[in-house]
Amino acid sequence: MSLRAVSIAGVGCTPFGAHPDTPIHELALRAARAAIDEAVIARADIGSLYLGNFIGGMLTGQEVLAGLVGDALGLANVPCTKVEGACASGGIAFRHACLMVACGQCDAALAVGVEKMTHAGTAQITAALNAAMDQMADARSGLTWPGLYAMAWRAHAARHGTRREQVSAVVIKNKANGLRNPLAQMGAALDAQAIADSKPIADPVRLFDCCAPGDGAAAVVVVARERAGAGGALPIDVRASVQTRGAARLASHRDITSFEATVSAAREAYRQAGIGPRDLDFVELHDCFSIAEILDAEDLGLMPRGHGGGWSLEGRTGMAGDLPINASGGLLAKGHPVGATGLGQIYEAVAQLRGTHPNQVRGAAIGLTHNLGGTGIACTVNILARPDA
Amino acid sequence: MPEPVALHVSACTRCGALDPGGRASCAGCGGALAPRAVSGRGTLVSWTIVRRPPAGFDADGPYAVALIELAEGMRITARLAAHAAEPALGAAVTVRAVAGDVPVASVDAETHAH
Repeated sequence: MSLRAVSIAGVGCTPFGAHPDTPIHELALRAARAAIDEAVIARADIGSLYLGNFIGGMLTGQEVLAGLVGDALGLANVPCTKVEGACASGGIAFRHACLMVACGQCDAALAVGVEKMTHAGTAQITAALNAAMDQMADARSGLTWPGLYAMAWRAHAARHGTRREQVSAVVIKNKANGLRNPLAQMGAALDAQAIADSKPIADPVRLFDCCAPGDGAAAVVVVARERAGAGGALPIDVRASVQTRGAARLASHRDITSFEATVSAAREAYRQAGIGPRDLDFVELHDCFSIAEILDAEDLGLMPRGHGGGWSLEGRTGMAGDLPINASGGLLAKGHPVGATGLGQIYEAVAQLRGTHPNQVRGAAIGLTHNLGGTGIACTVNILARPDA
Repeated sequence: MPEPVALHVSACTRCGALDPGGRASCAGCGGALAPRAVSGRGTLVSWTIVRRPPAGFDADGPYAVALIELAEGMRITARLAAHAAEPALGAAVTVRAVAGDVPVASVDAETHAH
């Protein structure tokens, strides 16, 4: 089957943070309406909706979010489908919307990601997030997500000599980037001492090494490329959109410093796009923890294995560096309303490629987004580009 | 130090592949899995101390969780019994208890530096 080229016609994103008075479906609608308005598309022309959400059922009691949002948007009687892949739920929604257009099921599709978390207590959120572990295996041990990344950090440090100050440099960079992004919930000017002195969570992970729970939503309208350009905003090419599976259990990873779902997704994305990591102008990746940015960047082939910490401390992933990573502030500073994150990354990447981002990467023409779920059980990687790139 | 306890993992009755547990059939060949006793001896791949436990584990915290490579060549997620020094990765460990379904390993005495 031959596939059609797909473009992004419109994007929307709420501020990430606390929205105590806004129900979860209203957050989704705000982002969706913004994306639809920007795409200048009639609701009747949207042929499919995919909604990414992870723990809405557990934390808010609201299910059937896809149909609820489709109904409230006044869409036609088109398929509205909720997808879940832990922290990769939003990226999975985007890929499926792209596929529906690519395979000709419809000419336009809407992807929405949403989460609402801040009304719940920390222990309740931690327990809900732990639903992304195999309940017959890892979850029984009392393992947590900071704990998993802490173990990966310790193994990476033992093998590559990765130092605390290198990992802290990721936090300092992303928190500083977040200060320049009005949608970010936790931008900050931090120094290494404040990070090293923050509360221990799961040794060696400390509080400032962790992203914060948040409320928020993001949405993207994708269209067949031959129909792109109807809206006022520059359409952005989807050069690759890939989803993979990885190990379901910590014990199943051959190497806990690398996620095979990321490695395989990146390899296929570069193949689809016909480019390599050196062709990228910027990356938005899944820095759920500070050490995750180093692991993910190496898995994406952005630098040689074991060099992620060095690149971070030397500023090579900063705004003026070789390859800016997480100019948005990333999960560490923009926040991580779980189901919204993958689409929020695409929102940020589209703004970079249009040259309208508040923390603009100069000359951004090709970018990559990376969204990783659970134990590395689900991953999406997208390569997006300006039409003239 | 208590003696090693019988640690059971899952083994495929058809192809012999080992699985850390919690599944009924083999991911490789689909054969039925049955419990198999293993030595409980292995090495420490990595570990952490969980200081913010999830709901349901509050009474346990803080506690150490470890990834262990068993002598039989498979990995398990386990608790690590408290001990004085920070264990080095690669240290020899032995499962000496099973609490609920969760193996509890201790760092072997001879690997201590002191």
